[in-house]
Amino acid sequence: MSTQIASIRGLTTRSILIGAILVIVAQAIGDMTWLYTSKTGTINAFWVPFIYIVLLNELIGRSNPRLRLTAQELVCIFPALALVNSIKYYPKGALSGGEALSGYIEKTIVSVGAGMNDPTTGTYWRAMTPPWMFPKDPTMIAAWQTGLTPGQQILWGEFLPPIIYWSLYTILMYYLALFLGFGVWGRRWVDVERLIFPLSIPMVYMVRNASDIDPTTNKSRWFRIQEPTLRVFWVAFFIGLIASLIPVFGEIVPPLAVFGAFAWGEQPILIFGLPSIMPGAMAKGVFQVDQVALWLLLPNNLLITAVLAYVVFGLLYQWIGVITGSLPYNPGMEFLWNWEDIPANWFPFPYRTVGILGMMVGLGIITLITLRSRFVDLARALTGKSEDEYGLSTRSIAWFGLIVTIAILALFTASGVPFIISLAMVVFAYIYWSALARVTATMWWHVDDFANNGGVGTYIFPLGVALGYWPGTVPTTGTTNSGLFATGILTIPFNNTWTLRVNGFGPGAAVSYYKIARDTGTNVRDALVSAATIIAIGVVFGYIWRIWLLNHAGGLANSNAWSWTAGMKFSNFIGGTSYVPVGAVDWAPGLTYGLIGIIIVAVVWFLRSRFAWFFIDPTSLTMSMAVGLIWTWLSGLVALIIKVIMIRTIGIRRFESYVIPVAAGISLGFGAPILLAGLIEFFAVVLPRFSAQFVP
Amino acid sequence: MSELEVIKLALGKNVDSASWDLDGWVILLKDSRLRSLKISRRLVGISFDWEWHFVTPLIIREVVDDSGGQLYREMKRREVQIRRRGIFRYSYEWVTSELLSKVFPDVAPVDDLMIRLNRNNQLLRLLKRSVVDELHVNTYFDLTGASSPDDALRKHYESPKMIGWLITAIKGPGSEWRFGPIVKRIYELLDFLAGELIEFTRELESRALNL
Repeated sequence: MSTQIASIRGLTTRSILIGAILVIVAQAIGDMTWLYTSKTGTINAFWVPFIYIVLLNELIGRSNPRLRLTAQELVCIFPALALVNSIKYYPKGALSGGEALSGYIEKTIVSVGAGMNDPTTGTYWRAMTPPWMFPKDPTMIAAWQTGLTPGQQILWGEFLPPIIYWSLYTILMYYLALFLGFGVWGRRWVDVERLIFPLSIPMVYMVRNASDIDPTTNKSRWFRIQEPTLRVFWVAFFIGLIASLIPVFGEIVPPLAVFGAFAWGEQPILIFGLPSIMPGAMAKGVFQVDQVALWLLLPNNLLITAVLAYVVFGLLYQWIGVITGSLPYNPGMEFLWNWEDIPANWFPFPYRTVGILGMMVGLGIITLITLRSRFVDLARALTGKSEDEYGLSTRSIAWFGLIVTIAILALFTASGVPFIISLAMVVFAYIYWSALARVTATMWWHVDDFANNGGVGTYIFPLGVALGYWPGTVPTTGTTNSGLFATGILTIPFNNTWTLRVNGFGPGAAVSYYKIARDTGTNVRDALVSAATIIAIGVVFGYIWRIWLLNHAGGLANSNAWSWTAGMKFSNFIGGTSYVPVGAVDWAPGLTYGLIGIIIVAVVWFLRSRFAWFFIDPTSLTMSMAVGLIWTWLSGLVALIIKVIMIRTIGIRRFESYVIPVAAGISLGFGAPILLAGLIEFFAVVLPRFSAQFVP
Repeated sequence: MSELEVIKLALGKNVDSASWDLDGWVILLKDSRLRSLKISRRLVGISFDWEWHFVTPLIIREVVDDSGGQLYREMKRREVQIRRRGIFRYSYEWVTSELLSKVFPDVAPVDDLMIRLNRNNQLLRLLKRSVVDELHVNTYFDLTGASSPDDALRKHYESPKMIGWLITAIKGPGSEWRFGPIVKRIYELLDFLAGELIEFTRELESRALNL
């Protein structure tokens, strides 16, 4: 699909200007929505799906063709909204502020400022926090918690070093993802491995069709429903629109929002009868309409692997474990989330730990091994011959990656992290991010967090102990070791929490954006430069705006800001160490299960590549195990059933012709009502709440 | 077991030798109506689903004279393929080849082969057993010296190099873990079909000579 289209420039004066303005407007409204919304799981960022930008472009284009943005220009402004809204924006325009730029802000400056205000550990935080992480001035620390008092002003001079420091940290994190996505993973995954990139499909389909203009009428051919595939798309769009009643009832209308849900349509389904038949067996799955639609594109063996993993571990292992007494029975354990107290996190076979610390690490290592020639090419391009890859020179991207990597090492080391530990953090980022991106490019964004789930406690913390950088036991009152403090503060989100994993320009999203650029024929260098520019503007503005908002409108105590992230950093890294599985008191079990996971994924990878009959897919199995099964099996099962019925009914050729418009239509239709829900929430709740607390 | 080992096991004593050719395994056969069978795996559309192609040439005459050319063109009018119906249990029906009407819109199809195959209960039983997704019976051609498959078809129609049939069976996604039985059943289907086609072609040849 990608190689048939020539590379076209998208970076123009107007696209740069629109992108820059859009990211500021979107972050301003989105972060305000994030802090003051009453729908924290759903309407929590900038609530304008990209389909409206495309439709607006069509309206403007009809009135004056010269004002119509090209497909490539649209691609170059897309990062402004993806950055603010998370990876969930890609397939359907959904929002997730905590998994976007606002989430990075929460886990950096907000977290440290919250720690300094903590009633129990605040004294410790205030003593340890350097002035470049948060102001030392007591009045500014207090205002962070409750907002400015009338007449009080923000001491911007105090905030300047933290703004520069955290902006640099955040921008470098984004740039590393861009380097890996555009420089390392993208070319091979698109051209050689031909990964599916389900998350990119709706955007590619929409932009390509909307930009196909009939010169005789000056109208987009996207609306020509006489054409069978476009008719199928619009029918699917309306099916998606109807299906959006699920999040409307499940998340928006309070009396019906019984089960809770996230991010427009991540709807948990509970199988109430199952515990009476199979006590202990997992009776929960998440159903996502857009995930089901886009998973119709996946090969059967990926879907079967996801379902089979649930049957083996979620059903049989947990049920047999409970009835044989190998696993304790806690009433209600069948209905818990993956991060809660479930058998996936317990001895004797904590399959989620095996997945996160082992299979993901193994998948990342294997992925990097398959990319070894790419690293050689980039190393040669640094000083030797440069190749032009769809507009992007390999020398430029190689230097970009080298500078970013060195800058991260320098920033971490200058912050107090021992150099070897900085190196280990970067190496684990390369490994884990590679696995994250591979899972996202193959299937979906659901994978679990490395740092918080024992990754740091198992791999990075013991390294510091072995090298004598810090003692093996962290005092519960908080470490006074500046090296460990800096490591603990910087390791999340860098070494992966959900905020990085699902970010609008995290590893998976960066390579998904590369795919969008390629499939829309956008000059890859233009896409990279526009993303990098928008990120730089958005990040700096994001920190300044957040400082202004919290100080002028209620502080942590009167907003949805994640002050609890201070406790997460404290208990996992600087006032204790996170060991896994549940009950582990040191890193040995985590290391053992990690090794088991690495062996499992290596064996499965080998068998899959060697034998045609071996259908278990290593990426699908890794994803399922690492996310505790809940987020994969149900959508996988539904997609598999629909796919089999459709292929058997209409045949494989027609299925292949229509599956992309069907998947894209359902996804975009499903997300379209977000605009209405967002407008209502913003004017009925967010603005009044902000105004009520505003102190000039 | 590797892909080739599964194929060899499924075809058993009928395998003479096997070798790799561009994109699939070419199995030379013995004690069979088929001389060779090429089995290749191809990606379907955008997804990573695989479909399996089983292609076998059925050569009737290797030297072509005037009467051979006439026979080839008569055979062309009788090209057929299957149409599959049903969701959980398939039923099959032989219909005129779509390729014939697409590439040769001026050639009038003749339905005697189609009727004959549709009346063959043993063949329909083998079709149901093999659960193939597509099965095409076209006149023999190869791509040598042609700019496209359609061009090759036209060139062979004008001056055929060999007289025979080219049978292509396609099995869609979900075959990986039942690959062995699928290979065996599709081979049995193609072998039986080859017998029917040889018999029909001989009859057609004698009819054509009598004209």
